[in-house]
Amino acid sequence: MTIGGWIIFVLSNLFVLTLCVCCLYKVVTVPERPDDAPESDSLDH
Amino acid sequence: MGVILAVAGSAVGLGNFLRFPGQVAEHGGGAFMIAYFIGFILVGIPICWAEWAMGRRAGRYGFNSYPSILAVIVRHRWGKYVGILGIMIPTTIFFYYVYIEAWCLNYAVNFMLGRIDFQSIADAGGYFNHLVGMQQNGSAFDFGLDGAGVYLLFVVVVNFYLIYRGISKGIEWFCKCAMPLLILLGVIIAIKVMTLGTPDPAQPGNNIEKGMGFMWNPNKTHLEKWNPESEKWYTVDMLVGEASLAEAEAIVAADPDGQYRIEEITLWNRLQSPQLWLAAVGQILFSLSIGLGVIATYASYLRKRDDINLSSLTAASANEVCEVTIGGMITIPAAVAFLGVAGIAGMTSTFALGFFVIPMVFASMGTVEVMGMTISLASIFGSAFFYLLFLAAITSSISVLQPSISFVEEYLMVGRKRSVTIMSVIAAIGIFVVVYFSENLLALDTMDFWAGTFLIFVIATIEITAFGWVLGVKEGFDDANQGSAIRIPTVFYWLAKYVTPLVMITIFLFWVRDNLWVGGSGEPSAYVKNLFYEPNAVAWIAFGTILLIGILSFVVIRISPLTYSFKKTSSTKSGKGDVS
Repeated sequence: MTIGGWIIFVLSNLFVLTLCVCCLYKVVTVPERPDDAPESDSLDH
Repeated sequence: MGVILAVAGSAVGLGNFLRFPGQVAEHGGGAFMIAYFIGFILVGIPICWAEWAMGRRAGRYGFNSYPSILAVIVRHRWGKYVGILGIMIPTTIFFYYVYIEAWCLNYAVNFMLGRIDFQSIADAGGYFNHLVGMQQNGSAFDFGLDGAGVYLLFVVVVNFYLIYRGISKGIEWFCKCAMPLLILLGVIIAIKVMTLGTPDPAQPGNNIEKGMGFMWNPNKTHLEKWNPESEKWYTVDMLVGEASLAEAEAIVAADPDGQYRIEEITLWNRLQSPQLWLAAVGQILFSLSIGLGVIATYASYLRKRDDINLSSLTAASANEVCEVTIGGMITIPAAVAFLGVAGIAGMTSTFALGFFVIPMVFASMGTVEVMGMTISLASIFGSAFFYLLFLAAITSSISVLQPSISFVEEYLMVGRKRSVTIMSVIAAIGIFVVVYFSENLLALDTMDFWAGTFLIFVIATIEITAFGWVLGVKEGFDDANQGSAIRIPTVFYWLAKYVTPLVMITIFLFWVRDNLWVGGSGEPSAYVKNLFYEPNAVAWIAFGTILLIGILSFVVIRISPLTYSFKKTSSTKSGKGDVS
């Protein structure tokens, strides 16, 4: 694998992993909705 | 988290682990990735956000089926007829996806039992041809361990059991269990592949580093050979270093017929090729499940203050991790390490890579001795890989039937159980068509081309254009921002209005040029020939099945008591809401 290949491999993975981790972090740290809210993030209601 | 995993589960499928690496290797490695990420930002993210926004908006008026969702967006009754495409596509995909799922399960079970030990592509081809009934129509109904029948029955039962249980208790619940397991299996296999080194010391040129280079290098020099049968040049080796270049030059010099050539491919050359951009944007569309109607249907069940922007981005990024990080480190690097670049020449299509090349790779892993016990690495990693594919496929198949179930519920005003029962009868007929007409996989291939590829381009182009120009990006994305944990950046308003529709229309026109006619030569492709120039009965039966779903959907809409009025604030849908 050439240096160019390594650069693209590392940057590609860094991009998708960073995006995913940041999104997941944000999802789990979003404040919970009030208890009286009937809706949830579940699809059924 | 449930909806994120359900949508991610729908998106993560065979394409992540088989189609993506094949496309990257075929279209220039690193260059493909640049086009791929540009496509992700210009097309993938805007359409994902638009689909979620469209779905939730329609859901607020009490609509959950794709025809109604499109009607709400275009504010006209013709929207529901165009939206029939959003029923035809996922329903047809379900028909053949469960069949492919059955193949994956077959390979997983037979690897686990130590019954797969392919020594050559011919062995692998023979097994696959028998399994799928390639030789003769009707021959796929084999209920032995090597056949597809018993696995297909199991897969269909599991699919309908999960679908019958409902979205929360069935689809969401299964995705919550299956997605982490899928990622775990993927990571274990990727670690195994990355530590392969040089599997065969007698072939020092075939190693994992060369495999990674074949997949990711932006500039490459290949030795290529002309294949008169397919009339294409195939890569027989990737040249690394002066010695291999000199060897290749000697081969070319000693070949008076011009069957060999040395091809230097630079990053810049690749990026100038329309084929590369077509392949990269196409992969983004298929990978993110855009245009299937699934995302919009799921989003229609969310409420106004539920987040959709962050959920959409999280599901898309989880899909990208499965595709780029896991998918990019398994199939092609392992295949090159074991078989060499020549060994996978012309074998980078989804089925060839997944069911010919990869089984051979795992079968070559042999055994290890641990505390006096002989452990088959082929059984462990082969079955793990195919269970991974099976999980990826089943999380997709249980989702793709949801749009039609919601449609039947809404337009025939029946409960979920009755809707699932109706759809199970229709699915049984569709699956029978795919499985019975198995010769050369013509029925499957026809359905995949017209419904799984052509119509996806059509509906994705229509929906982003309708979202941007009929509903209006500002209204749509402002609506999406309500209740969301993140706001859509202003630049995406501009992208979704101008750039994404333009890219989609351009890509679609290029796709039509290259796929309905051979390379734009004016010669019709096999898919067009089979229908209009040299009509083939099986192709017409498969094509007719797709049309039949459309006709049935049209009839259901016409006989439905559901009524729309799109006059300002005066429309009603059984008293559920109004569309203004």
